[in-house]
Amino acid sequence: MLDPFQLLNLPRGFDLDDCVLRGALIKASLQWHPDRFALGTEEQRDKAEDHMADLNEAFAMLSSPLQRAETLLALSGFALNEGTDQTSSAAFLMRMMELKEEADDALKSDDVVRIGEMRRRIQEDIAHRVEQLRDSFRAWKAADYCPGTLTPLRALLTEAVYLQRTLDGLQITTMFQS
Amino acid sequence: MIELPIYGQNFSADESADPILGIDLGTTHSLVAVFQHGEARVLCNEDGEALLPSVVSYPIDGSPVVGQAAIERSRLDPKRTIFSAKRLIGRGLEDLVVERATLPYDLVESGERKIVKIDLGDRLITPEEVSAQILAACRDRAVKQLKLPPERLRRAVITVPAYFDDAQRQATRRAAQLAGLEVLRMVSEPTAAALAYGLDKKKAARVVIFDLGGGTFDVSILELQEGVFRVLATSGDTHLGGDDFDRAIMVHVAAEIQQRSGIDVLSDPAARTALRMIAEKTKKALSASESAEFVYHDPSAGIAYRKDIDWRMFQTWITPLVQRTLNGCALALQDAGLTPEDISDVLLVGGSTRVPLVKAAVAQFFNQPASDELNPDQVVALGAAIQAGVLGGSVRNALLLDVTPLSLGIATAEGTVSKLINRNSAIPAQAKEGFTTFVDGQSAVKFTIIQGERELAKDNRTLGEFILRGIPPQPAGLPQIGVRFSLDADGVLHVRAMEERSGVAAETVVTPKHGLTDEEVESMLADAWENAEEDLVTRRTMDLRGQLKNVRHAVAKHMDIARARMDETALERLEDAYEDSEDVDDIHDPNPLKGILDELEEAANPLAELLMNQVATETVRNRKVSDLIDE
Repeated sequence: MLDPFQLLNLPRGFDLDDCVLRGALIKASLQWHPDRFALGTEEQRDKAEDHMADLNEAFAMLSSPLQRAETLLALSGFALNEGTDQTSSAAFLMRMMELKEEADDALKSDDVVRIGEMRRRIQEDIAHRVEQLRDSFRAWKAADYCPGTLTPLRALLTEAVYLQRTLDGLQITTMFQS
Repeated sequence: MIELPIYGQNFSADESADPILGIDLGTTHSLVAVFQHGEARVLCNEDGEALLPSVVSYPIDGSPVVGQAAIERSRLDPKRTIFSAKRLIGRGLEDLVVERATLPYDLVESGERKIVKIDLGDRLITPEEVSAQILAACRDRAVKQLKLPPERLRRAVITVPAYFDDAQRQATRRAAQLAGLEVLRMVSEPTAAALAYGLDKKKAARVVIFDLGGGTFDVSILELQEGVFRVLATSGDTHLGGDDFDRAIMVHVAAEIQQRSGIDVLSDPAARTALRMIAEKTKKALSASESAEFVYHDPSAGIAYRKDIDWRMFQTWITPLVQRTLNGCALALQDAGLTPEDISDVLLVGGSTRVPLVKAAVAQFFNQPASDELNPDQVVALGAAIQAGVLGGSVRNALLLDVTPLSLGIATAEGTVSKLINRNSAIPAQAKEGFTTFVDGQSAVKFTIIQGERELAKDNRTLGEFILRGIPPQPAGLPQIGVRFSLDADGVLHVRAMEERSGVAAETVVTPKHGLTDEEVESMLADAWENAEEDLVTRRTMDLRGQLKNVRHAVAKHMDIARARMDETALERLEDAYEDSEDVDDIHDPNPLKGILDELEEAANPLAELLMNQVATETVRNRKVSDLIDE
């Protein structure tokens, strides 16, 4: 799999400052963007297109903390498994189902304000879990990446991914598309 | 670590190299700019006019006319004078229901792929051909202003609305091809505007570019940092612009005329052209004053209409349109993960941002004044020229990182869309997705490529279809078909599919549903070449006939003098030549015509000498020379 840390020349880890990440993309883009090869050979331009596409993908994988966490797990050989990973509790699943219903209602209402408020609420929920994830990754590192310490981290990440999906489904997009 | 191949990037700038044109191909007008001697500048015509109206008129006999001259023909020849071709390009008739009602020219669907064509009466032309004429006119302007031969001005950066889809981008590229231009890069209009705005800004900024032009609306949010312009999100509508404001006025006026007189003025092409022009004038007047008079007379139809339109009425009519632009802003903010407070600058681009309601609505939405410090008409062309400088190597400190405006995916068997590339992904981008077969022994799979945000495939734009054939017979679900999307830096999609067990592969640049194919472009280019030759012959023939007519006229007028004073041999020769030149309407070849003309002129030489002498004599007698010499 593509190692985004390596591509962008960044140290592998969950803690990653936005400015540092942006700086890494800019530095790589200045070297690799196809615009730099506009007068080059076709082969050079094709190579630049390919490599810049990889850089863009790497940036996208790292800029979202959740994707970054998933990437880190996958790179360490502990990828999150769709469906089989246990969430923390049945109570959480219950809450998710309620949230999904609420989201569907909000979408049906076409009420931009209501959708916006709900999005903000979910975003706060995710941000809260991202903070906890930060601690979990530190704990994992402190435990010399012992797989045994991963269970709470995986549960936390699974919850956050659920929330993110609900958020992705709750967009004002479709209302404006004719 | 992967070893990155390092090869010679950053080609050094060569000042003697052929300039790369920066062209803003707009709905209502176009501009051409170049980056030279460290700065971008817009090229004007002889009259100092920067804007070239994006209008092409096709006289029934003669070459197409572009720009102001075409506008002047529009009332005379509304059905053969094409404006707003950009709204048609890469589109199908089903997309053009609103426009079609008020366009003075006729549209038809042609061929299996339902390409929209404009019906000139005696022939059909494509929107690509119209745009090609405009692009060629831009290049001609550069040829004149830069004093360079056309073959040294063959490369260009062309701007397109950020929200143009794949079909519209490809159609624009084909228009350039028809005009003989190589497109080095297509740049989004708001991104180009940001480049012109932010090139000399040192501090980091988050900028909103609100670009409302004649026919298209874009809003883009960019992050500026160390000369790198990174687009965070873009949104828009390729069917929303100042044209729609004009149409709003037109529709209200036409309804009122019909109410008063019972006449449906919109059914008459000439009236549509006239009303549209008056509506545009009214709109412009309302940007500067509180009310404007709308006057329309058509004595032949018995219509005498006048009305004072005040800004409140106009606001009411256009409010739904302005609201649509604000929806786009909300969407872009959401996708960028930002709120209005995160924005440091709001820039207005495009002529339609001169409308006070637009300006006010944008300022209110972003809760800060919207800057119109840049010339909204020129900023996109200047940005295109700077991007040309970036590509040519003369601008070293800037780089654009753009995104794709719409999601791309493949229609599933259930009728939904499997998205491979999400909207607002940075370009170039690549993505891969696995598919398989549904039936035992299935040897071919059809893929339908979809662009858009709707859940169901049928609600989105179908970019094209292609079939992967030759899959060796296997039980259903066993073949592993990898489909790979590559979206290049111009935002154009390339698709490759491969059955991984057998290695059977198919590859395609998606041929847009409504666009021209490579073959069609090639045949058009060939036609154009032939026609160019044909045009040349026709013009030469007509010139020769004209000259012949003048000489015959002069000879006839002075035949008395010739008969009285020329010697017999010379007179006979002149009479023969005159007779031979009488009936030349059937001669279409310039060569024999030239022979006839030469002979007549030579035979008339003695007469000319006689006349010269006579002129000298007559002058002595105080008569005016002009009385004697014709024309």
